[in-house]
Amino acid sequence: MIKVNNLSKKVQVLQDQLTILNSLSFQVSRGESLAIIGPSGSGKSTLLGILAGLDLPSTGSVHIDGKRITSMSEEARASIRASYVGFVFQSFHLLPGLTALENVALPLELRSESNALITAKEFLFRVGLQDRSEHLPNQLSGGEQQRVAVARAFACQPKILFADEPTGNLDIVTGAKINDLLFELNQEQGTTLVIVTHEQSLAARCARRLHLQCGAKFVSVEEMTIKC
Amino acid sequence: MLVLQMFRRSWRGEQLRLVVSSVVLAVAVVTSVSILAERVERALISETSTFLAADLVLESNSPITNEWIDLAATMGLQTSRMMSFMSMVYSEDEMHLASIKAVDNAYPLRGVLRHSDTAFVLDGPSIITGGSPRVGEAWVDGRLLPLLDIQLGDSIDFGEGSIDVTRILVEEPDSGGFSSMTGSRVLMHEKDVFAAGVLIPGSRVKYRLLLAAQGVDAANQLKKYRDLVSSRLSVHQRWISPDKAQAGISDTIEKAHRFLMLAGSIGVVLAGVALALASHQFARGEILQVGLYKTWGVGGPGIRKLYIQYAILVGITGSSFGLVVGVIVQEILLQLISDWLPVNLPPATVKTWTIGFFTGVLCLSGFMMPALWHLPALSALTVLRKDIKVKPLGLVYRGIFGVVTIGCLLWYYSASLMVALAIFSTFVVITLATFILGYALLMLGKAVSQKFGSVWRLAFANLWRRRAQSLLQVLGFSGAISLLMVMTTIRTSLIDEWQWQLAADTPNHFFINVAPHELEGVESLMSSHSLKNVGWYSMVRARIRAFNGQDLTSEQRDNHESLRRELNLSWSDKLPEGNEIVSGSWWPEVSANDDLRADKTIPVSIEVDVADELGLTLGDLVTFSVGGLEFEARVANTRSVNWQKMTPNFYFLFPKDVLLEFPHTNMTSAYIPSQEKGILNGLLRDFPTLQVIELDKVIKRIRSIVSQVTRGLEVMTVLILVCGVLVMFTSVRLSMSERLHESAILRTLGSSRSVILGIQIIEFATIGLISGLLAVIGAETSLALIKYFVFNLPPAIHYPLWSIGPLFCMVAVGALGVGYAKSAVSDSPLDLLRRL
Repeated sequence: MIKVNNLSKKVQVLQDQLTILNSLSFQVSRGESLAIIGPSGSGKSTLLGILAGLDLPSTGSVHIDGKRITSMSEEARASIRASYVGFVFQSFHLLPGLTALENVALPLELRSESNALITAKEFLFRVGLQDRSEHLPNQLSGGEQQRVAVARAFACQPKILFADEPTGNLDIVTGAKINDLLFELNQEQGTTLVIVTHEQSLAARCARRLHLQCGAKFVSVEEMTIKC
Repeated sequence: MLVLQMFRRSWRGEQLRLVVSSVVLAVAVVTSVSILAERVERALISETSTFLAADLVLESNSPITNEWIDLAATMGLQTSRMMSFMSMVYSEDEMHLASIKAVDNAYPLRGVLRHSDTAFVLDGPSIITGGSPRVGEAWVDGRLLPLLDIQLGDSIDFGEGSIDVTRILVEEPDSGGFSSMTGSRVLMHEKDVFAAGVLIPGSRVKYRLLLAAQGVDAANQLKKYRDLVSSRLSVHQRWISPDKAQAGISDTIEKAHRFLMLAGSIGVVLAGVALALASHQFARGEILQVGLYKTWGVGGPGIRKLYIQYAILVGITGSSFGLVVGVIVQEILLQLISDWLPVNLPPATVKTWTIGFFTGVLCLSGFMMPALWHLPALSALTVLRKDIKVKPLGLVYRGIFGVVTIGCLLWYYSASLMVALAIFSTFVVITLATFILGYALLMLGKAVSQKFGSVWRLAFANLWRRRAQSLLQVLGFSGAISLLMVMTTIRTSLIDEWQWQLAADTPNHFFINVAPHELEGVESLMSSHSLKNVGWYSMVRARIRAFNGQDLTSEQRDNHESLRRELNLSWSDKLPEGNEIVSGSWWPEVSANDDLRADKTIPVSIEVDVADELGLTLGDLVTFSVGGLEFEARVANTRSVNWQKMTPNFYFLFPKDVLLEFPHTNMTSAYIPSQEKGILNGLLRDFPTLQVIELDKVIKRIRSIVSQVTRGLEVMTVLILVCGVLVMFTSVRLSMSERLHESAILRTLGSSRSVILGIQIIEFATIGLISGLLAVIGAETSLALIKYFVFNLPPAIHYPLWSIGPLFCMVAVGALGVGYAKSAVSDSPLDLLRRL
């Protein structure tokens, strides 16, 4: 599903060139889950951005479903995102003026789906928030907000879900519930899951883990045999 | 439709509401002003027609040919014939040189005659409106009764016949001018004039053809007729149009009109600034949304299309609401000034509505679109990383868009390049002052605050740290406040200028033709009735014979009416009140010495417009003839005259006593309350040659118009104040989320509410104080230009602005800011942090 080949990302900081990612190569199969782990500053979010087609690498390539997105224009990458990709963010990124239901429905409406609200309601039900559909984000707890964000991500039925520290802002118990939800939906929809996380327990539930180290000199993709 | 959903959902948030409110206000202000101005202007044309008793008048020294009258009739115009001349009327032993006006059955075409059976009444049940004298009837001024010692119903002799005095004339629609009122008015049917045989070849008669047109095409019909006839007019024939008929009132209306347009321009600029600030805020709030759209695969063009649709929706909604609000406001304004407007006010044209609507669209293109322009180019990474810099469209480009838009709006709505430039220069001055002086003041504040407590240090450190935002706020506040200052100051100046018209004791009667030997008697009679006059002026009747020793040519006489008739010369030691020297200098108090008269270089002061018209400049010699005696005078100065002051004013003034050797009469003006007008009977009986010009009717009318116009201006002022407050609100909001965030952190770290509140008060009060100072600087710049070039008022330093302005701004902005930021101390820090 995702094929990364010799990927590097370098940025210019003042006079120096800083290497964030160095010659990364790996693949993620359809339906598989991958945890990207590593200390702060090791380039986890940068990698996620490149994998999702939000950013471009300095060298190397990323293929999604056989399509080389790293040589595509921004518009073409946007079209790939529309067809394949869903996101869950650390800080939820719900639109403050929209109700829970409207937040979930918005990406569907952008795709001109006629039954956006019905689908959104189904997914809110799926994450257990059918009673809170008319609440605004600031009327919801952190865990509830992230559940709305998960519902929003899965409502579009993406082939790949990128999650950036999805439990980073939540307590352990709430975080665990969100993780359960992510993996349940991942199973149900056969979604490929790429998660950036600090959390060992979450990383442990993924099929594979990609360790990024500071300076990105040592990279390993650890095969996991234990399935969730 | 997605864009409708977006709009509906965003409506819950304050930002979109502020954007829409700004558009609504911009459109409401310009719509109300434009519609009102247009309707009132059209109404005034028909209203001022009543000063002429017609829409257009052709005046001639000879009878107007039937051919022209028939032509008017075939073109569908209404016509009426009128002639006026001076003639003696008699009753037994009494006689009077009356001002005769003879009319046909159609008179008046505009306005109405008001008449009564009681002399010297202005109001009351005895007054009847409408009609005109039938053959054999004379309607006369009340003062003719004591002059001829007659009663209503008596006959008076006129030429070879006699005529019955049946009504007292209270008001004629075309009695506005001064000159027509020197003799007591006798209004009669034209057939009586022909029957009396008073008109002989060479009689000085003014003939008028009154014209009026009906319907929407009236103006065109009149213009067509005028064009057809104009080429055939002789030098003794001229057109009189409504705008020339009532210079005094039209000046007031014209100034009110200019004020309305100025207020409209200021309003639309303020609303534009509010829109720019609100759009800036709105765009900041959209960053997350656009980032999400990008992650969901919506490309840049798609996002641009979405926001263009969104802006169009905002434009349509805001402009439509704006039109509705504008119509309501102009209806309120109309109600306030309805007394002097015709009952059937013409509706506004579609053009005015369309322009109001498109003002909203233009505001959006100039202020909102540039603020949103960068959104489609945002990196999708903004949703993952907070360190991604969002680069709005360059300040230069936004500045250019804003400046061009403001320039277009100002130029169009003020209809005056000077107003546009004046307001524009205010902005330039304020912007420069903000970024130079404001910056320096913030730096100074930071340095000085080190010597004060921690609250002061923190407050000034905050202001300095957020200096770009602080200065932007200062710019918003000072721009709004200075424009409000400009408007309220001009409003006050205008109202002050008109105050005399509103003053209850403005002189409303002129007393002329008082012989020197009668002066004492008239004066004592007046003082016995407690009538206070404005002082006596002597008048010598003279003709101009030559300029610089060259006799006047017949061409010169034909071209200038003042060279064909006798003029009133007067003398004065001091420059009369309301007069101002334009060129040259006033003569010293004792100038009428023999030396001057010996070499015939008597100085003369000439009213500036007459001097210009006659082509006279300083040092020119003018030869006057008084009853055959000639003398020469040199132009010593020219002066402007405020004709609106109801005091005697003269085109030609000489030093005192220079003209004493010539026969002269005296004149003055005084206020007589309407209930005491009976005094005139005794005065006219004792001094039969004395002539009284009654201006109480005209003054009453002016007073009513002025007081209503003033009320209209007040409403407009309130509307513009609302625009100003909107700008202030949007300015305050600029830094609010950062402030609340910082306050929450400070409170979490243990700062007390009083410290947080203290910081907010100091920050906003400082911004207010600096804004106030800059606003005064901007306002003075603008006022100097506008007053001088637009309202013909002398530029002056406005001390109240300097003393009150900055303090008022400090308190107002301080209160507004703290009021807005009160949640920083009232809400729990946790709530704040979660909300932000």
